Amino acid sequence: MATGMRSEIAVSLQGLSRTFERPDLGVPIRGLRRLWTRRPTVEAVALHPTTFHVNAGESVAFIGPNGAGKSTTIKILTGILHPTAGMATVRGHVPWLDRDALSREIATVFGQKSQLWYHLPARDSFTLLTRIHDLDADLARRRAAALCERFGLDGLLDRPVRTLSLGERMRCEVAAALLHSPRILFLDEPTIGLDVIARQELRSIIRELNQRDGVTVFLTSHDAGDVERVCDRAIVIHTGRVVFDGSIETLRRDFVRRKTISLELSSPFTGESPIMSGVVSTQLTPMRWQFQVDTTVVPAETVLAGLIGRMQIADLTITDPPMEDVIAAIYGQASSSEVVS
Amino acid sequence: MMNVVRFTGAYVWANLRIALAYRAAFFSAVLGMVINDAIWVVFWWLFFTRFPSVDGYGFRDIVIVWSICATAFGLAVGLAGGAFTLASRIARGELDFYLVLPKPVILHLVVSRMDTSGWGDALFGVAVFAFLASPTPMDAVAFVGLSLIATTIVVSYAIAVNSLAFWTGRAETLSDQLIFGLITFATYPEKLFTGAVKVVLYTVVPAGFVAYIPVSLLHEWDWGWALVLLAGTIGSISVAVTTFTVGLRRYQSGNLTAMRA
Amino acid sequence: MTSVRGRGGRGVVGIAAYRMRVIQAYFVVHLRDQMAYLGEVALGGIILAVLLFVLTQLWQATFRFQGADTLGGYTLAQVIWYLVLTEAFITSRVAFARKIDTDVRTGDLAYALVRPGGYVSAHFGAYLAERLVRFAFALLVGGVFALLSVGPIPVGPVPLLVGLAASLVAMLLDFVMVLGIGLGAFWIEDTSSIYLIYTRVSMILGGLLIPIDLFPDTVGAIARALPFAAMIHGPARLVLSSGLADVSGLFTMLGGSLALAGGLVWWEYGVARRRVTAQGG
Repeated sequence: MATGMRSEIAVSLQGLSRTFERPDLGVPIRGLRRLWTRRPTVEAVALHPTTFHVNAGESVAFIGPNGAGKSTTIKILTGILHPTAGMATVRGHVPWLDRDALSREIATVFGQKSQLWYHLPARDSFTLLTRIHDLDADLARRRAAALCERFGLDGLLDRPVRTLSLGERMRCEVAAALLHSPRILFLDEPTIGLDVIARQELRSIIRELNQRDGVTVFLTSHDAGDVERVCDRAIVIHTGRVVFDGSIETLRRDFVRRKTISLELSSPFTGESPIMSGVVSTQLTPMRWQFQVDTTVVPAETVLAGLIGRMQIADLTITDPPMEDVIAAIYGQASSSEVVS
Repeated sequence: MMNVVRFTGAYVWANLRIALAYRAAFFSAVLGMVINDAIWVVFWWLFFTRFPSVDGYGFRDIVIVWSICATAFGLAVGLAGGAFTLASRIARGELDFYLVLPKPVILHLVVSRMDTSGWGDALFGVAVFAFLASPTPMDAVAFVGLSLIATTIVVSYAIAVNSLAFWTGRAETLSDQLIFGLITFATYPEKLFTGAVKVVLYTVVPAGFVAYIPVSLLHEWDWGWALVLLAGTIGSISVAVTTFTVGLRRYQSGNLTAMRA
Repeated sequence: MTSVRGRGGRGVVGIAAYRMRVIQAYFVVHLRDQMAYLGEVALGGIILAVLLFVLTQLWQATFRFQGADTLGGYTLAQVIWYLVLTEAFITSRVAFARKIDTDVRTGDLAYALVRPGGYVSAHFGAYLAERLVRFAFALLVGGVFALLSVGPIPVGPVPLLVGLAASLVAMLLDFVMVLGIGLGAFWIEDTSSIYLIYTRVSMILGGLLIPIDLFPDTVGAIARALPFAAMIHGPARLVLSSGLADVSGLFTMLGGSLALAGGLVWWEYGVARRRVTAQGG
């Protein structure tokens, strides 16, 4: 956490909700009647009354399947959409009333939509953004240089954006978003399409921004790695409702039903693989074994105790299942309407 | 105020550089528009060769009309090209990018695009005025000022009709038609239109303010008509801004989902 | 133009019949397509109505000021109906040069040539469907407008039919020329300027807005020497005139131009095909 962090609220939602009127496509209207008949509309709830708070300096993952209400929420928080009911403030501003003031404090980065000018060098995008945000030209130039050095953009800024690789472009996008020193960064699928190394680089940049600079991070992603490496807290949304709001560890702990015990033995174990209910054992080599433990049946510690007695263990690790499984479990559980917070 | 000027200037400069990055396409667009406009002048030349003057109206008169209109439309799509693609951008939800930034959304949308063919129009308009209308220095000054006013009205009109996209899915085609209508009426002699049509041309489809009054002021300056032109300019800007603002509120209330879905 | 291998040696007539079926198939499919977009087509009628209105005002003023009943042999009513016919031909134009250009530039042409049925036949079927629907619609809108403004004029059934036949030949000629322009993408950087010049020159020298009979002599002579007059002015004048005086001249010009353009484009297409298959797309 950033030093000197006050528990000041960066984002606050109170009973925020949004419904849409969608045309009822159930009834077909044939032929010429299409010209004068108005389709009946049906109400669709994109977001049920939602309340949560995000403190300054937090790094929050906003997770949910497509159509769950994520983009609706982000659009309301960034001032694009008005809510149907309820209240929200972002850095003390009501997004849909104070758009101008809000725009100086927030920034958005989209993985799938570039905000840089495609045919010009990235440096020109910085110049345009300086004018858009009415920044002092000198200060902006210095800030751009600092960001360039910090994100490793040397030599990239003078090439047309269309010639950059996706990874290079995403780093430029984040730098451009930070030019006006926003306090909150909204990121939507920032690592989509990136190779392993580029993804790691981008994640560590965002992590550093959060931990060193105290920038509040609001991340939407389908990538479990993003969630685990960048965020401390996860809010899971499903069919317009928050079904989980807590730390990443809690997320794993409460929804983890399996743990994997990996053993490195000091001497090969060639005996019968131990049979325990709730445990699936796999021998990778006589020196390396893996045990998948269903923790609803038997705690991992019990299994471990049993194994210690029977095998010569040189090294052991207990790992959690990948985030995808965790999230899938939450969605699955959400459809039987269980809410965990 | 200076900020707005610097902002607009930065965008125009950026747009020009983007256009020049594809030089062949740029020159082709400019040339294409010059040819397009020239054909119309050829048509009128043919017409007035056969019928030297219709009710006192001759070739030089239509040349002046074309010079104002071409310059006005050229500068409009060149400097404020975003006004003409507004309908499709609204339909595709491209407004969101601009809503998160501090500048006035309509200004930002309008200056963010440049149609390079507009420079062909503007070039044609100025050239035709300079070489075919034998202007005096005073004429030239008046021409520049009046063209800029006409440009403003064209841009306002484009914003207003494109903003219909906030209400109907057919706005792209509809605004194309309405803009075509303005160009057509503006580039024909005013005397041809009487009665109800004339009323329309001074209100809903402001060809009167884009072409007729500026042309008559070029022939003979009249302070009364100059004031009417000024009032018309302010009026059309108000209509444009109001239409867009009301439409934007509708967009932000999420009532466009019927189209966006 | 498609490979004749494997057709069992059906000969020229067999291939022609096959191509006809292809054209018909694409025609029917695209016809249904056009019907689905009737709303858009209807809005397009606004542009036509505006143009005709403005032109009518112009010619009414001209006739009034000249104080004549006929100008260049045309009455006012005839001029208006002339405009309806020429505008119908022009506004129904299908701008497919860009599509051909893109096919050439992206190399899609190679794939299209391999597709059964023939590249040209497919495009012609589609062209014809769109063209005829828009032509019919433009005649309808223009016709209603003319009826309301100047009333009906007497038209002999024979000149009418012959004129329509001439229009169809003109459409075929237009198709061939636009195809030739699109294929020019192999050699020319930007075919859209060429296409633009083609459309604009044909409008002026084809007598779109002024009957060629009213042109100054030198320009009129130039115009008559070119095929555009036969495509646009010719059929319209034929329909409006009482006899078939210039029929042979018209069809000679159309036929000759078609033969010439057709030959050139066939050669061009052959070269294009060879380049595409040689380079492997």
